[in-house]
Amino acid sequence: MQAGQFVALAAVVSLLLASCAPEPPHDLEIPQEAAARFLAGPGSPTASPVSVEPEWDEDSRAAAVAKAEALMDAFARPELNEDDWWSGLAPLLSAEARLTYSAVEPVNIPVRRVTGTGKLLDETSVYIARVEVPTDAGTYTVVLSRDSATAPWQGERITPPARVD
Amino acid sequence: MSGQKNGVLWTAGLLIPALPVALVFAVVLAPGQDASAACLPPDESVTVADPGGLSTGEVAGYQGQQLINAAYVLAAGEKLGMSARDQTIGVMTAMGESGLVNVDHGDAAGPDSRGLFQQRDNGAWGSSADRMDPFKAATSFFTVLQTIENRDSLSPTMAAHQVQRNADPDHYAAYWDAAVQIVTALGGTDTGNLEGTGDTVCTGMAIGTGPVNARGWALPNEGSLTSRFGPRTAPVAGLPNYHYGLDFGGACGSPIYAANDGVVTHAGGPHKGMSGNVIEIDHGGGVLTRYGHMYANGVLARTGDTVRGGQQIGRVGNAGNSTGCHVHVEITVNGRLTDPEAYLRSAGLELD
Repeated sequence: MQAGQFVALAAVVSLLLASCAPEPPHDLEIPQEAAARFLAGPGSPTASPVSVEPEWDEDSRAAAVAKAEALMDAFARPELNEDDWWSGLAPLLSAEARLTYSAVEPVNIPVRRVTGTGKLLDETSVYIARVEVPTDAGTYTVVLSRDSATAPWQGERITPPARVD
Repeated sequence: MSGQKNGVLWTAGLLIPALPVALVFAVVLAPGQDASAACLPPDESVTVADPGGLSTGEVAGYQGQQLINAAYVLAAGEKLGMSARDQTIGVMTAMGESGLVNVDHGDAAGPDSRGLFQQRDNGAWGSSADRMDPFKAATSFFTVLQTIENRDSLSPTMAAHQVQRNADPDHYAAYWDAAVQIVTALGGTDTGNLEGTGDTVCTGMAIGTGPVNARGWALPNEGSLTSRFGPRTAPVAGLPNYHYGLDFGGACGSPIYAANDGVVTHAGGPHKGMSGNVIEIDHGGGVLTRYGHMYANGVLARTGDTVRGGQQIGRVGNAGNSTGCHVHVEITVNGRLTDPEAYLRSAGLELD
């Protein structure tokens, strides 16, 4: 397909649409199977041709709340030494959050326990969950992310009650 | 706290001869990265020019002894040859720890915390008297900050957190704007550090806004298209002979804009096959955009942030599988990679 055809197609598509996000040009010949292998990284020849978008359903809501509660449980352990505290928390965090929180000294943490159940605040993106978790030091807000329908929720931010982003 | 003691120390602080500014903290630039002075302000230390004026007036809600304590912090930083950015980080940290009051008691989380920086009695911060001495306490803070070699690639609050190791790495950002105002007032000069940058790396650069069309879409970068979506000869060995994105060849350090409103779903290292540092935005309706090849200090958004179309989210870099500064843009719709050029044209944008 030539660039000129792209433009013509795009013009037709844009005429069909109102003010919402434009639809993609569906008839492009894109090697999606190769793309999926590329997305999945080397050594994943059996990856599905198209990555499956996650959805907000009861399972993923429950999983997000449970992960946020588990994360706060692991965070709220100022009595532990650094290694033990970190080995409990790090597996629940994304790679970026591990960089952010690795310098925390657990003795400085004012939280000692989770005091209730978490509450999902926001479903704007199917990839991001914002969950309130009540603790003995007030209500914390945990931001979680996931990369796909099959990937686990991972902690991104742990925000104390005194500060609202 | 003791006012007389502070007065003596204050004199001591002022009598320290101004050292030549040693530019030992120059940013280490990766090959191909433009210095792009816009990101960080100059490295020079700021000097407190008019200490006699400190006893009067109010800056950002701080006054009297609080401003004198801030001047101690600046003097300690200057003596160590710290940049004005580092000095401002010092003032911000003392605000976040003690409100610039030389506190002689601890708090619930740290009953043994003392002084401007709430340093604990754990052997790392000297004697109780040292921790209650604003100049010495600030010197201890900066001595550790100096060891954080990548601090110019960290936001001010993250740099402060590396030293303080408190429970909330984002805690100090709220104090940055007041710290900038105080440093400007005490130093009598604009150091180039901007308000509103306490949680971003580029403290010398205002976050930009790109043009947005009537439907809310923005070009990711103002550079020309340098590689289109489709079959190609791989420019770097090991990459597939198919280009799954669209490259905008903007200058190193030039702004990367969010293509439309959305939620940041990734901001950091390699992601979904893209290399260097990558930002991904969920625009809703199954539409995701991704922006790649940024350096770590070119990532100006965080996962979970809500962004607007045209908001600057990063700076063009040359990290990862890349042979020159550019931003590689990918768009997926319902999980399928699509041609960003056709997609953005269909959104009413003009590309060249």
